[in-house]
Amino acid sequence: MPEKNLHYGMVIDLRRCIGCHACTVTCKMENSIPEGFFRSWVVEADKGTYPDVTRVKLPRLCNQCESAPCEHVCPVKATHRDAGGVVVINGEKCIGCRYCISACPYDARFLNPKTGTAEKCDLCLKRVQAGLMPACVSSCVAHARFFGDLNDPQSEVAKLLSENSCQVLRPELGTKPSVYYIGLDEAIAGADYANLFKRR
Amino acid sequence: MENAEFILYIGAYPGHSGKPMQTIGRQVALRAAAGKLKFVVVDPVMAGGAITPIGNSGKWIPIKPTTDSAFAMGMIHWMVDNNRINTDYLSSPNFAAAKSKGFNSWTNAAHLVIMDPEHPNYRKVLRAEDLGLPVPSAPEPDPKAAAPTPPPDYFVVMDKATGKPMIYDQSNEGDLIFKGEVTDAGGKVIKVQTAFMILKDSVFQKDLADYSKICGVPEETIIEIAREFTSHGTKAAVDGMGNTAASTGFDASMAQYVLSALIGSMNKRGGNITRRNSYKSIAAGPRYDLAGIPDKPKAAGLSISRAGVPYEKTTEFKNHKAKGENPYPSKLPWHPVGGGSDNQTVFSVVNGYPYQAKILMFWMSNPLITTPAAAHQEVLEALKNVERVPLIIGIDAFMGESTAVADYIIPDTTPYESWALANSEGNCSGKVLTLRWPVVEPMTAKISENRYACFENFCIDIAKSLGLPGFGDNAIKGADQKLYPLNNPEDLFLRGAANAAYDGKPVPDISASEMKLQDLETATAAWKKALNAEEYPKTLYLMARGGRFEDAEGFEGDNSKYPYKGCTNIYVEKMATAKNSITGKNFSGTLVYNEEGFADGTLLKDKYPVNEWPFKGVSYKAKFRSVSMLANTLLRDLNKTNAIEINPLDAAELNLKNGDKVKLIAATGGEAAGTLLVRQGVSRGTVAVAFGYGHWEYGSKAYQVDGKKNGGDSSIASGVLLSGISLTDPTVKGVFGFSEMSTGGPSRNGGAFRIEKA
Amino acid sequence: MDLTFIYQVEHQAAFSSLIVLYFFLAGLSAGLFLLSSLSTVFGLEKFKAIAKPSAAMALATLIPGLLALVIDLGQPLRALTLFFRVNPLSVMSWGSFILLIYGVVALVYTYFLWKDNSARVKSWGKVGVIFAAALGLYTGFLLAAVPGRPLWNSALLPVLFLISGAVAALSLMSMAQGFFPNAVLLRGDGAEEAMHSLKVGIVTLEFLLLVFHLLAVVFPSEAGRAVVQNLLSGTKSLSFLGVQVGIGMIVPLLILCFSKRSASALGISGLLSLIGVYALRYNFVFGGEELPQAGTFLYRFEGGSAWISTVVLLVITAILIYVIPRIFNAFTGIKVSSNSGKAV
Ligand SMILES: Nc1nc2c(c(=O)[nH]1)N[C@H]1C(S)=C(S)[C@@H](COP(=O)(O)OP(=O)(O)OC[C@H]3O[C@@H](n4cnc5c(=O)[nH]c(N)nc54)[C@H](O)[C@@H]3O)O[C@H]1N2
Ligand SMILES: Nc1nc2c(c(=O)[nH]1)N[C@H]1C(S)=C(S)[C@@H](COP(=O)(O)OP(=O)(O)OC[C@H]3O[C@@H](n4cnc5c(=O)[nH]c(N)nc54)[C@H](O)[C@@H]3O)O[C@H]1N2
Ligand code: SF4
Ligand code: SF4
Ligand code: SF4
Ligand code: SF4
Ligand SMILES: [Mo]
Repeated sequence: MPEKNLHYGMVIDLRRCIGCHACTVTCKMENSIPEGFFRSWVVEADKGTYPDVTRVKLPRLCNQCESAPCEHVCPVKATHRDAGGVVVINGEKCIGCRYCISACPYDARFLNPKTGTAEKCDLCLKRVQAGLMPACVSSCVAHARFFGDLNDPQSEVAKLLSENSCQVLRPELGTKPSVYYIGLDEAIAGADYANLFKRR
Repeated sequence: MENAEFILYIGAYPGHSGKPMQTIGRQVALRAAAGKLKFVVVDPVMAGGAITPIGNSGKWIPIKPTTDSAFAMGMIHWMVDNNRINTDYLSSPNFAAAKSKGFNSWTNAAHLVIMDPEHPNYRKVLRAEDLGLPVPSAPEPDPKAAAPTPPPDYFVVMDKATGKPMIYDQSNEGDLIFKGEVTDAGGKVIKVQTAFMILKDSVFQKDLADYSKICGVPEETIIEIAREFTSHGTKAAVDGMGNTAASTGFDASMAQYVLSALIGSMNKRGGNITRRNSYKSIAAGPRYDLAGIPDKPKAAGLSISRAGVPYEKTTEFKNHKAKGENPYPSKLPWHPVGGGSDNQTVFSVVNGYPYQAKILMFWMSNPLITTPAAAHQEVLEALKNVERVPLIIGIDAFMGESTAVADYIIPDTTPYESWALANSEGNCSGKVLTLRWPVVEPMTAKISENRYACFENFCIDIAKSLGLPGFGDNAIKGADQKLYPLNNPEDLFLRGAANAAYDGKPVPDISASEMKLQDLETATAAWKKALNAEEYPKTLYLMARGGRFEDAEGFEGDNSKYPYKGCTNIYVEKMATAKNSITGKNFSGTLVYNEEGFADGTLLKDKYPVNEWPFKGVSYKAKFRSVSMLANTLLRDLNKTNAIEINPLDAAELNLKNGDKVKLIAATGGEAAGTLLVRQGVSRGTVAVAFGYGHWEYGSKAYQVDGKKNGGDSSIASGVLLSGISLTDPTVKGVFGFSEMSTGGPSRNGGAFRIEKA
Repeated sequence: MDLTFIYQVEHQAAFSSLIVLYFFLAGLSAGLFLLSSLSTVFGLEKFKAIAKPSAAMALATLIPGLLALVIDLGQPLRALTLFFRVNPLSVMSWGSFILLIYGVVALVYTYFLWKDNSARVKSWGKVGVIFAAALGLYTGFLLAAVPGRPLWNSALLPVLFLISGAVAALSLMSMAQGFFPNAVLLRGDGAEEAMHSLKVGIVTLEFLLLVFHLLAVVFPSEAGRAVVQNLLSGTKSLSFLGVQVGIGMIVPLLILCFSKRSASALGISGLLSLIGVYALRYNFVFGGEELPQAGTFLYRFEGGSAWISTVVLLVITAILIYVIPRIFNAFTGIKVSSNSGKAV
């Protein structure tokens, strides 16, 4: 990994996502995630008022924040940056204090009960370094997920970013996610938190 | 779909289900996101899929279950009123005529139908013989054909150019709107009208407003969809499937093809095209004849399913007639249209009608769950009763519900351990044949070297011990006229693959590097002797790719390369002349809207008033289940159970709220308890339940194999099985699932239900 | 805009009952130390009687608190790496050193206190006060430093945690005074009066802080309104309004204001406040984590075993409260006793 300026990221085209959850399943298989835990998942909600109803589909994973709360709070620096700015967890160092889990504003982390250490999406860095795409990108049924170097203007992701209206989740937190969504604003416009809470 | 500009999904859900779900989902999502495709999903249930809040390419239109033909007739009403039908196409009375005008299919819209109740051929399409028109001499019968081909039909149209009746394939354009009289050779006047006019009359019996009221879709929406549908020339298509599993299912499926016929888009790029286009494999192929068995014993008797058989051909009917009695009603309904039906087989077996089933065998099928109403206790009891069914054999890889009632269970192989040759179900224009071959050693019992317990070996061994021809060492005839063995599954499947490899232009031999990359030498060593040295590298070419896939798309210009060349029936003579075996009344030959009714014609709403039974059921495909199957713990993890889903307005009327524990009660008996999900994406008056939940076996109960305990995970049983309480028909004696009468299609959508707080 | 979730996965909540216990005990320990220092460092003679029992109890609550923390780790054996792998950006990294230093100082302080070496007590006490305050503040700060959780994101939270720790300390001491002075070797000579008025003041302060904190959470964001709504009328309303505020603040204040200044009134109000402070920790940890994050809103809290550990640790705390003063007696050879004279 010689390139210094690599910045790995993902663009998810919400216009295309059909909510098949293939990404969820592939990720679980690729990374042997125990039952009940997810590095990648899809939220689906009916949106609108009858008869004008549509379906929001929001595929989720770690945002690979440029300013990552999980990284800041880790007391033993087990959470650190790897190639391409990917936020990764050193399983040898992690003490399993869960602080990062609570600090992540995106619920991207969990404590793996098998290893006793924190875990989350690492953008399939091992696959990427072997020249493959992240597993969830390869298997995305509707070709809605794109992976690449955000700093390389020739990359597919950089082009998508420049050509489309893309947003990140909870930009107000200043975490600077590296996972962008095409059409996010339009998809979740109008959803209100208090309402979510009531509907639990 | 890769070319359509507008698709009307009515009873098929893009991106959620369908065959194949992934291809459909991808094609719709990509094209819609790119702004190249608009689509509507007219469906009682909004299941997500390709419907998104972003952009306005796709829209969900809620509809009342079982009212699709009313919706379509509303569209047709507007289309006819506004001259939005393709008369060029419809007036082309044969394939060549249509072809010459740029179409790639044809209909009988311009064919004349005898409307004279006095005429012996009343309700039939007018034929040259009826008028005494000269007909070409019949072609020489093909001596090689297995069954004699029936003499061709010489339908008649009112030729536009001459204004005279003419045999359909001699005319280039028929008078589409002819309604009047023709005279036969004897000078007798016969009242006739075109198939199209019959359709029009049927449609115009009601107003658009009536249709709108029936299906619950506002008039403006119907018009908007009709306008969009007719604004793309032949680049528009209609798709439906699950909606046809209803007591009004025939009308629903007819509605779909009539709509696409009215715009002439069949077999066109962007229109409805044929599916399952494939290469010859298990067939009389270029290498082996896998269709015929030399000295094959003739099958005799009647299909037990009562489907595809007119009651009028049965001995029961003839006996009644002989005794001078009214032959109607038959004991159980007979379904004259279509082919056999596994669903109806279930009810035949449990009622012992038309005859007793001595041996019942299940394979790759779990009818107790998947046949609506088959999970009723009476069905289970009947199957367990040895007097009713002396022997049941289940051939299964899992402890399915049906397998669990079997006397013998033959363990079968799973997809990783087994062979298959399959076509693509649709949505790709070219030819596809997939080849599955075992990638692991089967975990079932090893019978001998290279032989494992599985369905195929079971059949082979039984056949051999019965001394049936077509099995054993001299079983399969090769193109070289030599006989080859059928002792193992690969003997059949590899030869089928060889057929496909040689179909049309043979595929190239596999390259050495590919061979090495996948180490096919080792992987296929055990099967090598099934093929000869010439076939082997070509068949491996398929194995390496998982099948044979046509390189080019299946179009020439704007036309499908593999069109359906037969007639698209705007008037279905077969339906019009067939009778409901309970009432003795004819079915309709044209598109109609029939309300849901029982076998004897009683309307559902008359027996079970809507104010007491306000809901119609919809049993839609689950996102994380493959029909009824759920062996995958990963998928189970994603969605452990299903819910009883209704619209918030209905919930408010019943004073129920999201998350309530409720009972779903069927009008003809049976109830199921579950959790209520109140959401906007369900149409009013609909109770939606995802299929595939509510198992009672499949590992939810423990069972012993060789003294070892298996299964016993009760979470597998979670959820509601709507089919378990699907309606039975109270107007038929015996247990009989509520069904469509002409084809025997089971009703899993529709019915009458109510919901109470548990 | 109506939104109904159809598919959703359940997320593991990071912190659950053991962390609640840890926050409770750490705050309590810090409070007890401060209570002890009132006379030894700040020279408030009224509180002299409780200096030793408080100091001993500060240790008795700290130890199980630390145990809770370590048990909760996914990799408990790596706990010590906290001291040589340091992240200056991490509050928890700071916290581990605060805990370490506080623990050592408190131990030495108590030793000298037992020895009645008032000069040393004072100098160690001064350091101890700083670290006790740091500890009390730190548990709140740990949460406050986490973004995206409105119930935690407020500078008032550390102060609230510190003050409620002090309330807990005072309450435990009042309970001891009222119900088991002998167990903690407490001399009932006049501290009740001082404790009584201190407690009224400090509970009132806690209440005000809580109100301000919630107001600070409610105003800025919709998400903030949602969490507060959850406390007031949602899943946490019973434990918040009923236990934390009702039983933990209002009732004790009423008892303290309207009953006779008796040891038992002090004791009962102490017990209730203690429960209230526990509820506060619970409501803030659990309630803070239940907020819908980015499109997620189903949380699963580590259940059974953590609660069992909590109960076991509380029992251990009780035992330590009894044993530790006696260990000091034995170790220093100086017999501290309660006024009934029943010492070891
Ligand atoms: N209510 C309701 N009913 C429906 C439907 C619905 O949507 N709603 N859908 C209908 C449709 S479209 C269909 S196609 C049918 C399908 O009906 P079925 O074909 O009966 O059902 P499946 O769930 O596909 O699987 C049948 C059984 O095959 C067995 N099986 C699975 N894998 C293997 C294997 O590798 N080898 C062997 N030997 N057996 C295996 C399992 O025991 C499984 O239970 O159901 C229909 N019924
Ligand atoms: N996820 C998933 N995909 C699958 C399968 C699966 O089990 N799960 N099974 C595969 C199989 S075997 C098949 S046959 C296909 C079936 O694929 P589809 O036909 O697309 O699926 P169904 O759910 O059977 O029915 C389609 C839709 O019809 C709707 N519907 C029900 N009644 C009516 C009605 O009266 N009018 C209208 N307009 N709509 C109605 C249902 O709400 C449903 O959304 O799917 C295949 N793909
Ligand atoms: S999404 Fe969460 S886990 Fe991922 S980098 Fe950002 S804060 Fe860390
Ligand atoms: S759980 Fe592991 S990665 Fe997370 S903050 Fe603690 S030590 Fe760091
Ligand atoms: S990139 Fe890899 S780890 Fe991350 S969500 Fe996708 S499959 Fe999972
Ligand atoms: S695999 Fe692709 S289409 Fe399917 S849910 Fe994930 S992102 Fe959406
Ligand atoms: Mo199917």
